[in-house]
Amino acid sequence: MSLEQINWLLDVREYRRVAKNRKALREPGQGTDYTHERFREVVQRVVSRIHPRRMNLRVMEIIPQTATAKTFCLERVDGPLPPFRAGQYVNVMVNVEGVRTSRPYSISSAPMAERLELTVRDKPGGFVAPYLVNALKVGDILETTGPAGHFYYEPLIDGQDLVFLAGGSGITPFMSMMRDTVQRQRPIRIILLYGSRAPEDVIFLGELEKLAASHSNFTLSLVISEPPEGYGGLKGFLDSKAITQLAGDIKGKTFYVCGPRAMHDFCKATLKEIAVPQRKIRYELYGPPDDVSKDPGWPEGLSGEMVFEVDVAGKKMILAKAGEPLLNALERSGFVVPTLCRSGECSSCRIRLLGGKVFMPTQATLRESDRKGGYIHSCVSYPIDNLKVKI
Amino acid sequence: MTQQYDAIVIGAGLGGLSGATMLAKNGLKVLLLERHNVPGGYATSFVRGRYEFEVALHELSNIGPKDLRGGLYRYLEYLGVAAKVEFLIAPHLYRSIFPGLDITLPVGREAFEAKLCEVFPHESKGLHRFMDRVFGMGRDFARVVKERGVGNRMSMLFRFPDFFRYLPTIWGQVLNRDVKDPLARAVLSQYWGYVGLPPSQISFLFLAMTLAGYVRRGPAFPVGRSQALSNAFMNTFEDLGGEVRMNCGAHKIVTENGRACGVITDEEEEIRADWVVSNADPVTTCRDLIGFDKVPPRFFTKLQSSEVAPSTVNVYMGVDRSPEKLGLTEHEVFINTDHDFDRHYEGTKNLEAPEALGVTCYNAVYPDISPKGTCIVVLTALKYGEPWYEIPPEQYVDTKNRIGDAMITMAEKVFPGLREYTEVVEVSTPLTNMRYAGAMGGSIYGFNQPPRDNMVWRMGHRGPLEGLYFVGAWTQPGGGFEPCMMSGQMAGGAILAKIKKRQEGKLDVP
Repeated sequence: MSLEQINWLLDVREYRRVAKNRKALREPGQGTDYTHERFREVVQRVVSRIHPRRMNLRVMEIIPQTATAKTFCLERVDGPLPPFRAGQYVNVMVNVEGVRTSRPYSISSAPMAERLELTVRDKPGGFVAPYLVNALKVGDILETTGPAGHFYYEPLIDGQDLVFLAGGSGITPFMSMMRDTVQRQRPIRIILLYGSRAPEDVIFLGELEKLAASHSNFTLSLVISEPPEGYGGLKGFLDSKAITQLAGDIKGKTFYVCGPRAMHDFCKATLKEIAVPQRKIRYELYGPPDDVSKDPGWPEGLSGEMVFEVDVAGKKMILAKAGEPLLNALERSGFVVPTLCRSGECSSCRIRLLGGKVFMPTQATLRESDRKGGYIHSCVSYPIDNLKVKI
Repeated sequence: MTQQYDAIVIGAGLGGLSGATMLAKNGLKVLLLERHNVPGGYATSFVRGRYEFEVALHELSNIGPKDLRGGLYRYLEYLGVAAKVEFLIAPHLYRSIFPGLDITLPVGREAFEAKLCEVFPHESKGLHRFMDRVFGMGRDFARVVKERGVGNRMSMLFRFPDFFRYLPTIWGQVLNRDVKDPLARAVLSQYWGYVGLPPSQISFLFLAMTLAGYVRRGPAFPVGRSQALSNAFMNTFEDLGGEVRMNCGAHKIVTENGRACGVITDEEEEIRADWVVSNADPVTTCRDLIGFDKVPPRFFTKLQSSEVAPSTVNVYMGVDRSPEKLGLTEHEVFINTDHDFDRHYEGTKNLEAPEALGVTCYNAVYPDISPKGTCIVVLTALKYGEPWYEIPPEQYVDTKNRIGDAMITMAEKVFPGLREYTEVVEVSTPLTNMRYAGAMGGSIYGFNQPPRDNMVWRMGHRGPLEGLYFVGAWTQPGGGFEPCMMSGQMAGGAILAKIKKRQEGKLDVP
């Protein structure tokens, strides 16, 4: 008998071994018992501890911050608060004037805190913020998504020297990040440049000053753009002069920008001017543009007030204004579209465009295949033609 | 209100998409339900900043260049999906790094064997002999699939001798006879990460098919990433008259007289159909969607011998530097701390730093995948899902970052500057996989594939109830992109065959 023939016999004998092995595992008490309790809805149970899809939060306390901003202290009533990364947001679902819609708000409390805090500023022309600031009472329940977003300190690549550029209510994610840094005693240095319109608009002033006074690795600079007469502090915008002066040598530092869109655009140009590499800058999202018709690429002569017909395939025909995100028009007509960031990034509100044209500002980050395949992110899609869409 | 379809497919992973398209192609009225807002399951992508990351696909097998199209391509062509996607073929299989060895293997059997013999001249005889067995298995298996049901079982022994001989064997057991040098064995077994079990446990059939497929036709990658493939399936399905509901899962499968006959959607709508095809894992399907009491206990007894395959920890990196400057010229690089794959495999069961790493730089095969002067790098390590279940929620981020950090450090030893130039980083874990794909244990290959659960002997497509079918990695032929798509063809084919029999009056019940 040759060696190969012996090997052949050995290989064929494996049939018996495999059969025996399988039979043994199927005896009671052997192998994996998938009827065991630990496999019951295992995916949902395990995942929801860290990434709940929805949370019900009860308003426990409302703290006025400025004339227009309030902090809502919330407790979760349908489970423990999930962990999150300081800087993340939740999308708050609301029913305002009969319209079911949502808005994302950064969490301002630290991740390990017992209560979750959202700080909201009422802004003129807003739809949801005025409702939250003026109508929400202690004891009310808010429905939100789980925490989401990518604007946080990432120790894997961000280094230990951070510069926070905050504008107006854009301070909220930074507040969470600073509270987290203190609580966890992270060995990082933070320089916060906080731009506000007027001194009385500064949110968290007391706590920020206290943090700066008691922690040597944290410096605070307030910059006021419309200072009252005789204001003694720093005045103007977060321009290159202010940044180089206040943040010092940029080498090795990571910059974080959160504020209104105008401030983003301004900081982007400024940071480029002082040669901060793109890879060292993190931007938070800022919602849809205030006036999309001023965006580069907007069709010339088209008024934002222009109204188009939108055929929601197989459902109904609705009207939508050119200057308003398609998502808002859909929501007003009672359609439920999943949403999260409402800034063009997360793709939750992705729908298919079957006919017509929309305008999408550059902040819409579509997948390459979605762009080619006619999908749109409805939160930053503006009808510039009669449309046919499929949700 | 109840609606009537011929078939309802639960889940738009590649198995579900493929099965739904297969049925629609053959004239059935099909409804496809998907809980997520994007189709594809793991075959998807996500955007961070100016980078769009491929989630799961490293490389597709059996697509092949124009003059050597493989089985998967022909199936996609039959459905009409192939015309909607463009495929790129990588020139090399992989670069394999061990202490003291750094080898890059080319595509094509001759070149592949020549390269191995050049590095391991003392093993050349055994290497050729072993590759003969691998390709013999590949040849026989293709014929077995084609000639299924022809002739009796005993005649298979003579018609497909290699298939018959190696079907119950373990890869390592066959390999170790022909090749003695442990390093040569390791280089040949490098694809073990693609099949989830080390050489000492993995079915010879499965790893041989994997290796033979890649060596012969080269690794392929779709332009637009795997999301382009998923979108192409979806559009083809809709063009064929299929109906899709996104953002709408099924939370119950309706049964009547021991037969699956419809679903109840997340929107509490009951929809009826003759056939229900589940892309969800069989445990979730039978426990949560159908309910214990309605499934014959024998189903769970048989399942006892199947174990959930590993999941992954991935580090997705958008790097602000050209791949050439970082030395990332190969599409797929495997970094190994040594050649003891059994030890590496044991490491997949804990929460420690991995012992082996895949470094995928898509730019090598798909230069336009990121803006000029940048590249996309994904580090992959196998990790079982279960240890992650017990992590206290507040320690989750630290745990994943600790492992991610170790992986970056390991990759940086080969590609200096990788961390420094990284602009965006995202670490995914088995829990991420569970969250987005809903797979038990975050498994990326369904059930593991030792010989007892290999392509032929693992769970079939027919479920424990009449009218219920399974698709996806949990079923035949197994885990991986190509197998998942093929499972849709097989399950779809089984349903069509049954319908045909019924029409011919050979079956009284559907």
